[in-house]
Amino acid sequence: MRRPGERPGALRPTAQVSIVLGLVAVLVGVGVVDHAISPPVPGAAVVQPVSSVAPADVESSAWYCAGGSGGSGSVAVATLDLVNTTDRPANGLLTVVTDGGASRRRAVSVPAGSETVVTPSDIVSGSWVATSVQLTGGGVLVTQSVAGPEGWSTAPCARATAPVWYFASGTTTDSNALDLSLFNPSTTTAVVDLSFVTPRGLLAPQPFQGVVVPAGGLTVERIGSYVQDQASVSTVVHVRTGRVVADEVETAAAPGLRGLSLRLGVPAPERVWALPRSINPAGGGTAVSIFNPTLVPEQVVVAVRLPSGPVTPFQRTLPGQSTWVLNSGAQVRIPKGVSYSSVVRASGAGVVVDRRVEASATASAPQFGAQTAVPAADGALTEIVAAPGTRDHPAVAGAAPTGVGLCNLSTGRVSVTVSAYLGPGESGAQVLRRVVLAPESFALIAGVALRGMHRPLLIRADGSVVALVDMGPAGSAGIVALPAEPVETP
Amino acid sequence: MDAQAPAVVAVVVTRDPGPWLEESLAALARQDYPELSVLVLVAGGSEDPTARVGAVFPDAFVRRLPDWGFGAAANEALGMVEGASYYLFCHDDVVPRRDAVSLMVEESFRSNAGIVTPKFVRWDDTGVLLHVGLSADKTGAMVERLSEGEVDHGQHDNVRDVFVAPEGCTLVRADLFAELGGYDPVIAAMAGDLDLSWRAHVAGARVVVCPDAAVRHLEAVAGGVRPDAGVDGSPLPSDQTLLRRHELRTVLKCYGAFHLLRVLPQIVVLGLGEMGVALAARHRARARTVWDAWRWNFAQRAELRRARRRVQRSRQVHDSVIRGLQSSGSARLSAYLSNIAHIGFDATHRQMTALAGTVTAEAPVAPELTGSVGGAFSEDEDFDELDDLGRRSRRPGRPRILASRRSRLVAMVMVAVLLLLGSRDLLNGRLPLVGQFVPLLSWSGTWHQFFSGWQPAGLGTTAPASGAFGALGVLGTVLLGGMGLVQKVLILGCLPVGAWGVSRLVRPIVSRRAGLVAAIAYLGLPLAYDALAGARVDGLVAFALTPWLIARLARAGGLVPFVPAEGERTTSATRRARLLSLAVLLAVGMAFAPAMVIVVLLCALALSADGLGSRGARRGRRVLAAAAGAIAAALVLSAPWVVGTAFAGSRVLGVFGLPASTNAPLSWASLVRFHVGPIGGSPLSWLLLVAALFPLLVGAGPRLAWAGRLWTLAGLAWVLALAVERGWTGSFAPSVDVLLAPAAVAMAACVGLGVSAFETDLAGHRFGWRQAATAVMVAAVAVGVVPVVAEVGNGRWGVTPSGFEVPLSYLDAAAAHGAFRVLWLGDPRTLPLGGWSAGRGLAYATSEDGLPTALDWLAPASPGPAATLAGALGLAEHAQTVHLGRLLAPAAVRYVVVLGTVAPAIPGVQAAQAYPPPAGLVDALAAQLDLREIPGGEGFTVFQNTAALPARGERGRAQPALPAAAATPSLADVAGWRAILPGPAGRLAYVGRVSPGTVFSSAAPAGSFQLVVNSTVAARQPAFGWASQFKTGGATAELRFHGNVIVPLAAVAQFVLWVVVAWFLIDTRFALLHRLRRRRGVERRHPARRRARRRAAGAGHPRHAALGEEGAR
Repeated sequence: MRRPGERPGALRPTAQVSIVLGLVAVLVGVGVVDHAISPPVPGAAVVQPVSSVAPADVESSAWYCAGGSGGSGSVAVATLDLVNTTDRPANGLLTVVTDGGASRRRAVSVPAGSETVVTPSDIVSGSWVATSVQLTGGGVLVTQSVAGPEGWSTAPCARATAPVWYFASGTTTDSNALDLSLFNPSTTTAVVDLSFVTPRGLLAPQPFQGVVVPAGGLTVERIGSYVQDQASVSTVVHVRTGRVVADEVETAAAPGLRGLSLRLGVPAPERVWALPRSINPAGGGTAVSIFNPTLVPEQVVVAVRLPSGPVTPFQRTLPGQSTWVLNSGAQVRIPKGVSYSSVVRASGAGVVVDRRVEASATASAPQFGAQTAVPAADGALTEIVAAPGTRDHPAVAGAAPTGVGLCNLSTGRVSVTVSAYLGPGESGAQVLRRVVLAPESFALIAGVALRGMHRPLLIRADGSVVALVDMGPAGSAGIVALPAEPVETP
Repeated sequence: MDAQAPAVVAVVVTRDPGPWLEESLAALARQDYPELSVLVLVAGGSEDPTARVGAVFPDAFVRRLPDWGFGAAANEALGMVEGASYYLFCHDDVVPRRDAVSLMVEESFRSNAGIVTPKFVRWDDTGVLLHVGLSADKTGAMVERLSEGEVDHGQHDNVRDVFVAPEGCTLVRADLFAELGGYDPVIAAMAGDLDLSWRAHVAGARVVVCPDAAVRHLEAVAGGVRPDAGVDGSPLPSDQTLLRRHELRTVLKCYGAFHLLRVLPQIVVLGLGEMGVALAARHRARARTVWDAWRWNFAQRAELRRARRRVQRSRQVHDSVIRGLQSSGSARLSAYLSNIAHIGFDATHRQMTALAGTVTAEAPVAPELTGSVGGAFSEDEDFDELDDLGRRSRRPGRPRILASRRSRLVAMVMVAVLLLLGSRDLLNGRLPLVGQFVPLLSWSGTWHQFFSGWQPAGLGTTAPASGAFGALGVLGTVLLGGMGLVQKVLILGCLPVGAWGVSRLVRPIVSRRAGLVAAIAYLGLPLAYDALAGARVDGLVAFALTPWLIARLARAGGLVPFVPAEGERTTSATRRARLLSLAVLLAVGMAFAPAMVIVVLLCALALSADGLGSRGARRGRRVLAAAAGAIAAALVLSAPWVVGTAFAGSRVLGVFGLPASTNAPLSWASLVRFHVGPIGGSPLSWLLLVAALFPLLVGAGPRLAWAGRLWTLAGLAWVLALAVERGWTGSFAPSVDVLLAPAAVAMAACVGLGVSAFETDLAGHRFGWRQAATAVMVAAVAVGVVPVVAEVGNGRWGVTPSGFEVPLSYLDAAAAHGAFRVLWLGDPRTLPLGGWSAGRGLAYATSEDGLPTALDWLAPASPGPAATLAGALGLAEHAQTVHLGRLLAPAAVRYVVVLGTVAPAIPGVQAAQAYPPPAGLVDALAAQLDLREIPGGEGFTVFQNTAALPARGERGRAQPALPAAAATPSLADVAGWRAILPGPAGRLAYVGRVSPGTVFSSAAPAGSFQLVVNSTVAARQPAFGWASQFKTGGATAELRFHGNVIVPLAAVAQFVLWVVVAWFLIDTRFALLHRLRRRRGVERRHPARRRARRRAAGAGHPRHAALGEEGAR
């Protein structure tokens, strides 16, 4: 019934005010809920480990290997190891280019479940060579060994080009030579800027700015020419246009400290790095170079675990664009001659970590070597590491795995099986050792189990583990080492 | 009346009386009240009226007094008269009816009233009321209970309590008068009646009006017939000055301490506000009046304190009771706002100035109702001109905001000028190639495309073309083939068309003024300009058509007040025409923005929800049925395209829109205020929403019901848009611009309803929160459009000056090296052509031989063989190939363009909205060994495919044939090709020389093309599963489309159907117009019929019946 004075068709004023207030409340409420529901995390790019083994069923895959020298007897003669993890032959095309612009192609075929060794300098000769391996399908691992008068080294090849590459360590003091190979396998000309972080600060020599790497070409720069006498040189390769693959070759030719190091650059900083097994050799030492390429400081913690348990971690706030060289051989809390694992954790965008090992002057050659640490993200259930050449074509005489360092960074126990890879399938592996890793622990497989092994090593685990394989002959464990690469499944 | 009647002494106070004195005394002498005696008090003056008094009323007593005011003089009766029960205090210019005194005395007894006031009527016209008692608000401002010039129809002839008994003729009980101490002697004139009445209330006495007792009153002083004078005969200050002084004095005296503390600050605030407004309007006199009241009372503070003590001592009634007798709110502010609304700012202030006594007073302006109420519901322009008082035109010099046709025209011209200014740079030159602003085909090309059986979109398809080509063809024909003009008309014309549509939508519910405000509000929302800035034609089309669709839906559904007039014939043809017109609109909308179907469904759901406060499930069902019928009819009108789309299977949802990235979704706040682009980010954009709440707050009847429906519609649209933005609807992702169009219409219409509610539902309301809300609404509308108006200076509504045609011009030039395709990748909002989804946030499309044109704009639902491009792209994204170029080669993709912005970003020149492609896409493409990155500008990345095949190519016999089945091309497959058969993109036939060997064609579907060599059809072999290859000898060859004729025939049938429908609609429309003209002709000859129809309309028209009391006006 209409009340006196009430307007026809109108609600009671209180009802109308309530409706409006309710409407406003709903609008605001939905806004608050909408604000509280955070938008989905931006779809991250599919980031593959730079050297992982592509699934067998991919349409095509490629590997890019730079850093080798071309001539027989030169400083770092390259040998490529192609391991086919699939049950069918892998066919592809090798393209070898030299820094002089020469280029030659050759078909390559890797039988199912086997390893093939290719020496690029046999295809085309030059001061420096780089090789791209284009394969139909995937399932192939390509690694590279270099050998020269000063020693030998081994490193993974890259599965992809990148616009940025980082190297944490390097020296240009005394007789050390540091050569940076820039390989552009694409059809786009690349223009590269190089900068260096040294104890003197950031250096960007003008001749290293705007370095043109032609499409399908190779350019090698000797860093010591313009970054002279620096005990620590961290390198940043920034590609203005295009993309490249960058490898660094470091040669030590001083009496009593001879060696060769081949390192593939790191395309992006990582927050957690692992060195599953290190040792401070008597008369020598081990140093961990931690490079912060970003502009913001990083809180860095180096956790060292001895067989007897963890030691007090090393910590430092690492300013942007600086390098912390942690000479672990000089740390009293790490005894000499004892194996230990190291895990480097950064708080922010991440860092890049290398390990440099020097043996005593009396040790057998090589007495020096350096490797990039293994990103924790590279840990996988199945990993493979190529032997340095085959029994018939070893990278150097007697080259073979001498120890497998395993590190479990997870919080659960992980059971790991290390096998010699004989071919595809369950029966295609010869089990060398089974270990169970406690959380945050490491293990070393060495000695009899690996003696004379000239097959790729297959590492299977029921959790994510990080593996770094020491190779011999070398003056000490860690001088020549190769990380196991994840095998991606279809 | 017997002799026992109580004695009444009529106290007539006079000074230099005019000729009216005799008539006044004679009236007293004629009173039928037996115990009436007359005391004439002559308060100063130069004339002794004793003789005149004696001549008329020999028994009257006459006493001369000094130059006192009315109150002080009247108080003399206290000492001069003994034994009187009542005093009747009279001016010398009142003429009571013969029975007035007896009726007042009777009423005093009956009501136990202390003071009785009669009904005052005009001296010269007793049919016009002057006062029937007065009211007053808390500040002491007196409120007339009548409209000026109100005719006495007996509408006030009830005895009732009043707050003030107006001076002139007041019956006061003698004991009460004595207790009150008489009139306040300080008050010489103005507000003495307020003071006496208020003190009577305080003392517990009733003040009533006795309307049966009528008194003629000359109001000689107020009417300026006799100059007012002070106690010493000197001129008094202005009436306003006296009034304000005495009102304040009364308030200060009569309130108790508590109420005084409560009210006084309000009086101060109101006074300051009034002073501020007066000063702003340069009415210093009025500001001085307010100030003077305080100054004068402060000067009188000692005497005032004493007077106040006396009043408070007499208190019998609490102030809260007295407040109940007063008017609520502020009478002055209410009158001010009402006057502004009804007679305009200037007239209001002229009136104020006149009242303040600074200029010659013009005739006081009575607040008027707007005449547009009647006009709003009338189809008759003449009727529109009548105002609510039946006058045909307004008196000059009283402008009312947007109330006159001229002012509305001026406003429309201003809006048009703003639109033109804001679009000035778009009107000149070509539109940039951004978003959906693709260059249109030539006039003939557009028609050809509509009737063609093949479209080049993707890799080619025989799906029927969109009806948009037909619409563009018609428009191009009308505009004599000027397709550049067609594009501008299509894009920029949406703004005025949409605004016009909103105005038409609300027209049956609101006045023309409110309709104009709604249209302005629609144009003031940022939605359309954001669609412009984002180059989203579908959003603009939705902006233009949605109001029309809603109006037609309401009409087709028979919603009040869209129903036809009673007696108006609604033939089946009319009903069909209504439904068809809705379907035609929808079909046109669907051609450019298929998501308009969703809009219609949303609107139907909201309108069928039936709003607030009314019932009508049947009407709701009718609306839903109308929507369903319209959609079905629209689908029939677009049948070829619909059938082609239906074959797309699950991809059919893609025609509504492609799922965009949800990485940075538009927030609820952005959606609600239509900030979906660069324009509208200001917090001021909220204000139009605030204004849209107004009809819900104060509306009544259909305005409230429609406000409810419209808010429901807006809510549905917002929620759906939010779901789409958040990705909750999966692959169903209609364009948010389209989805928000009904919400924008709803908000704009609500603003119009708010204006209408102010005009209609607030009329007669006393000042209160509603009026305050009105002020807020007016300010909100005025300020809410500022963010859009501010963009006028830009001249482009945020559209970038340069499109992709500038940095990518080399793509067009590349056609010289043979036919090819460009693969466009990016967020769906960035693609300058129609495409298909390759995952959330990534769409792909192709253009032939360079930059996209209209050929590539309206892609069919299914990509056909072009889906292989998405497959290849997926491989690259997941690092499963390093030879993407080779995978794209059979499709003749020579360039891959990845877009990250709506337009190319040029540092320092233009910035564009960024919608980044999926993370890693560019890196994945850069990692391909056969894609060469071409350095370019910001916001996009271009790769050249070094392995691309020509779209039409040949190679020698020595080369192997291409694989027939779907396969990854090998290096050998893509080597050795030469481009042949040149010609512009989109042709159905290409002629040229070919060499012996293999001819390759990348046009799909392969079976619809044949190669004719030397008049012989060459044997076609499939290539890569979907393309064609032919073995030929060297000769002249023609590659031509050889598809079936069903699609072109269907297009012809569709065209014919449109012509028939258009003819039917035009015919129906003309028939209606003819009926109207005939009726007007008859009515011109027979005005009585016209009046009869209007009476019928007023009483029986469903609109008016539904609209309530205003419908009867």
